[in-house]
Amino acid sequence: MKQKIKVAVFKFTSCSGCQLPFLNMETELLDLAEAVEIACFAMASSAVHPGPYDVAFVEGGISCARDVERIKMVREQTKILVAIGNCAVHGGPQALRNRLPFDEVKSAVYPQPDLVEGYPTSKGLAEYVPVDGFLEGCPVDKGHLQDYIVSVLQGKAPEVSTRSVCLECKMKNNVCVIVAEGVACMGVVTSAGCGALCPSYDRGCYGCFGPSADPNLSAFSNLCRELGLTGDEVQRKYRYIVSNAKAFREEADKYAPKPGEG
Amino acid sequence: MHQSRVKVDYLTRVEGEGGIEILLDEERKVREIKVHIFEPPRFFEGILKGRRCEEVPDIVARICGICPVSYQMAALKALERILGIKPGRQVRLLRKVFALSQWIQSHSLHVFCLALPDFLGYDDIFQMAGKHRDLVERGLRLKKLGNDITSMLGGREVHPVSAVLGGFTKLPPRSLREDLITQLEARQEDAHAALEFIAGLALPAWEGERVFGALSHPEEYAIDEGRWRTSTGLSLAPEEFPDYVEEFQVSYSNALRCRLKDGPYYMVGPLARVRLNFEQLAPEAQRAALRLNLNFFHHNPYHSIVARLLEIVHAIEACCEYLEEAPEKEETISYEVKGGEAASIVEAPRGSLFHWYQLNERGFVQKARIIAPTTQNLHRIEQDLRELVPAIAGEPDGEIARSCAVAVRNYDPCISCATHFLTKIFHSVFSRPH
Ligand code: SF4
Ligand code: SF4
Ligand code: SF4
Repeated sequence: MKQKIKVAVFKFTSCSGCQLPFLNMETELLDLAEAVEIACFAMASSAVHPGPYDVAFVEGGISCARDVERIKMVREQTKILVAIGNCAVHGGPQALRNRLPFDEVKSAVYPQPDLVEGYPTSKGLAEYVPVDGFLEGCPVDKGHLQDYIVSVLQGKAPEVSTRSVCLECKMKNNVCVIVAEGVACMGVVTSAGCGALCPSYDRGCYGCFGPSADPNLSAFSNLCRELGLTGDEVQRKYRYIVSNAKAFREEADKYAPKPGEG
Repeated sequence: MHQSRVKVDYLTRVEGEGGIEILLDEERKVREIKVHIFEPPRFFEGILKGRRCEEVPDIVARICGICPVSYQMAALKALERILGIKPGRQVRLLRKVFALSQWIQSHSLHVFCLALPDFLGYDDIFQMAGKHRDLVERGLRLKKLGNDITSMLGGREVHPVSAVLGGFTKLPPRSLREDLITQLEARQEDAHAALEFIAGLALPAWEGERVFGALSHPEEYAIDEGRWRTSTGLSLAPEEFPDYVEEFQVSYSNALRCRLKDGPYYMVGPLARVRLNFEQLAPEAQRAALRLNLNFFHHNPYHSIVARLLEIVHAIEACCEYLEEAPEKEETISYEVKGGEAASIVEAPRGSLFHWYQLNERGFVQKARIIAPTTQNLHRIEQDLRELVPAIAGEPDGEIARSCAVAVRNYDPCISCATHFLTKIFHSVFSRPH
């Protein structure tokens, strides 16, 4: 019998919402456990096997020295390192602090902020180690994880979509909320993958799958202004759940922050 | 005998990153117990500052991937109080279904994937499936049920998108709600069978008393409305919670934790709820408890796993009832943004979740305060270890480590939830030598 591929799942600075989809594969979970060797997945198993691993799915951003040390160790032990979700790809919602005065952020939570350890920034894994695959989403989509594993099992290169949420939305025949309600929907500039979930639930996309390939952000910003958004509101659209994605970050930085209302 | 250090380097089958360290002296007396929490903080209260009220639910959901709905509900409740929004009956009932779907999902995750392997002697659910395939399949079906309801109401399982100030952006049509009821009814058999199995487990014994705290409501098994009560007789409105529950630091640790001002340790979560609110459980759940001779009027924390299953039985019945009762149409809610402050408490799967916000007159968050269930339980978890270890100190180190991990896991701790709160990487409990 062929050796099973060794799969590991690791958590860094995150909410566990991207490793949970593995366990949420309820109907396929036991098949998955038969198809691959789940060598290390601390949230699911006390059987923790050392590397090397064929594939490691890594959830979470890098936000402290310990994270940096650990991700380097994981990298050394892993053939295909896949960043899963907003935190691992871009730094996550907690990267909102990257553009805020860290002392103020800390003291909003802690009476003795000086005791808090950690970097003033949260960043994606690729800022620290080479990464072989990126799966967008906050959270990552369960179907994308499955497809990724299947591709690896078949020895194929996993497909990555370069489309935007708009395309999925049109395929679903949704009524566009920009046209119908004047809502500044970010589907125009956001990576496809969720099946245009928010517009299907009558709200605008807020960009949780990160920027699409080559998004025309200045056109979207202008559209927002035409819809009546202030500069500050446009900036907050980009500085939201996926604030540290390069394209969103750079577009947001064009709008000077106003004191007291970051 | 030598002094020895018993360690759990990395707690497995819990959400988040933590470990345990115990120091025993030559006579196997406990010198030190430390629960290490190395999950890095994410500073949510800090990044909420300056966000507009409508943005809060999407952001706070990301505190926890396992109970995002609870965070959304707690935030919405507090913010709606500030803005004077009073949702109608349809929204109120469907929100309860939404919140209960999270209990079903999270409880089945904990019972079947995280905790049960302890009691049956396996490393994980995958191993357990070998001998207990039926039970595992039941558990996964229940978990899927919870996730399916969350998805139907919220669009997806993790970080659903439809819950907003005033209600839901869109609701499933009546026909889908009827399908849900059919699915719920079909799963009740799985829940009963699993409850019966778990009621028959030989759980570790426990001596010693404890205080329980949970939201309570005279007419329903409280989820998101009512007063916060304790087994010692406190009864608080959400705003009063910070007056009686204190966050504190101690000399030997820089970590904040929670204690009651009139008697430090307390426990929140399913066992606390079942104990305080047994009479409000759905009739079917009460009958099951009587039939199986379940007794929750003791202080044994290990019975949490039984309470979780009983709450699944309850949640299935309550969801059916709320789905049937929820009126078809509701008027849309409009509101004007204004300033103010308000608190809320909802029961998340792991226990009481407190939120408090202060908005300025333009609806921007000035200050936020969030106290997660695990933050409240932490102090009690450490006390459990302090009570547990002396009784098992004669056992081999590996066995002590295993028992301590089981005791911590029993609380279903959610470390990501708790760490926007912990100040220092190392959190020591008992570092003064005896
Ligand atoms: S990407 Fe989003 S869902 Fe995933 S771990 Fe980070 S915050 Fe959670
Ligand atoms: S609703 Fe949003 S995603 Fe859909 S077509 Fe319009 S802009 Fe694109
Ligand atoms: S529509 Fe946008 S915000 Fe909504 S789930 Fe999809 S990518 Fe995320």
